Amino acid sequence: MDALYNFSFKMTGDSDDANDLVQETYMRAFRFCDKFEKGTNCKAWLFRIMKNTFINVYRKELKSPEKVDYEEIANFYENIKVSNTDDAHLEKDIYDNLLDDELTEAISNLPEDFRTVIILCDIEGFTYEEIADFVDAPVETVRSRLHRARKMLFTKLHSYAIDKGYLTKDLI
Amino acid sequence: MQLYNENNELITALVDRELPADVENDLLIKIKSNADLLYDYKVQLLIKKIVKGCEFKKTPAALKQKIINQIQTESEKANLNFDFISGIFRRPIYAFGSALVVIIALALLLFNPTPQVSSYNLGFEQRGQDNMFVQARGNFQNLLNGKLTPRITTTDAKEIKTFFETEGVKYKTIIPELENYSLVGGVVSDEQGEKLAHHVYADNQGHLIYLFQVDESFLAKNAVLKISDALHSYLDDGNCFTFSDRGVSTLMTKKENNILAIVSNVTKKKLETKFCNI
Repeated sequence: MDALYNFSFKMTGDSDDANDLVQETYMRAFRFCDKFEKGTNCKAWLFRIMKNTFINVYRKELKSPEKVDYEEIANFYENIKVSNTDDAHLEKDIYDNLLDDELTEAISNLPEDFRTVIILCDIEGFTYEEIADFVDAPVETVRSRLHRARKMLFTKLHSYAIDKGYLTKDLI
Repeated sequence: MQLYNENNELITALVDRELPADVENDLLIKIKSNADLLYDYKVQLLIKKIVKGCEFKKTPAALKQKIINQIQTESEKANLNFDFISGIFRRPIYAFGSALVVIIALALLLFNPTPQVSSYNLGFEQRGQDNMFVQARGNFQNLLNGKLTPRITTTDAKEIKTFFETEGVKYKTIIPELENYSLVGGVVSDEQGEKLAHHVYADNQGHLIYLFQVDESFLAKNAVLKISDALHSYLDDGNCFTFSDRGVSTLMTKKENNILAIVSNVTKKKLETKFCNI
């Protein structure tokens, strides 16, 4: 249950919405438990129910799909890369200074498609195949989204680290 | 640059250990000899580690308990249905016609589930045996399984009203006429010394509509019965509350001074058409 709650919290970014989403997911799972095929992945089944619930209940509220200017992010990423002469800005210790809330916010601000894959892969430990099944997309798409999601997150966390003074502007 | 474009996304798969061993080895060699690829590799690895270490939100204990309670309630309802089915086939004395009506009604309950509604949570927050919503749904089940039978059998609304009055119902009752449905009869129950009115409609296709009504004062301060404050306010505002679960539709509304709870095996939409504007 914790995995589902953690995922719903990261997806909705709100504890009340996360509560409702988990509750609704379990009630649907209970009602449709006869649809679960014994021997298949129960966790993946529950996550699929949660995804459908999320789409039906929460995504309806979004008027249009989120758009992201990935080119801009890619350029920013390349700037960071060429501006740094050493790997100091790639040390994990620097980013450990960031608060959990800042990290959660950075993840929450990712577009939904990218947020979903990064949570499922890096937090929930799903394989690419399981994620592909979850998001109804080929494994190659999952890999591509993950690649971009991590780059986006890196640029975001790098900016946070500079704002907080953990990295100096001289480095960029 | 060409080498970078071909391999940059494969680096992600490498970090996630999603590549076959031979591809993994080839890629590692390329990474070591290419600064761009090496940079990407380090970034992907760094972000994976950071996200993995991100705070893991645990399910609040109250939420766990709430879900367990809800599942328990639904499970009990499901068991009730099962007992009823077993009972039917153990009793050959059931008249064929009655059994047919009940089986059709039950089939509709089991195989014609209706979609959930937006006020879903308002329904699930109703709890306890003294809750009007819970009682109405329980009574409907009892009606189906023969535990609750009309004390007066008539198709005449006036006769049912008179019956309610003579049996001690103190409030003015509402018995609307419903197109394509006939009255079947009524029954009076006793709740803490107060007499409460119930009546039933049926059509010729096995659909039943059960209507339970009480004076609103009986719900004030939970004197005789209760409903949640949120539901009470919702009805006070002139809204029609509907709830659909496992093929059983429930509608609650306020008419004049009465709170009405209507339960049926027709769709929620049909109930709304019939009762939201009476």
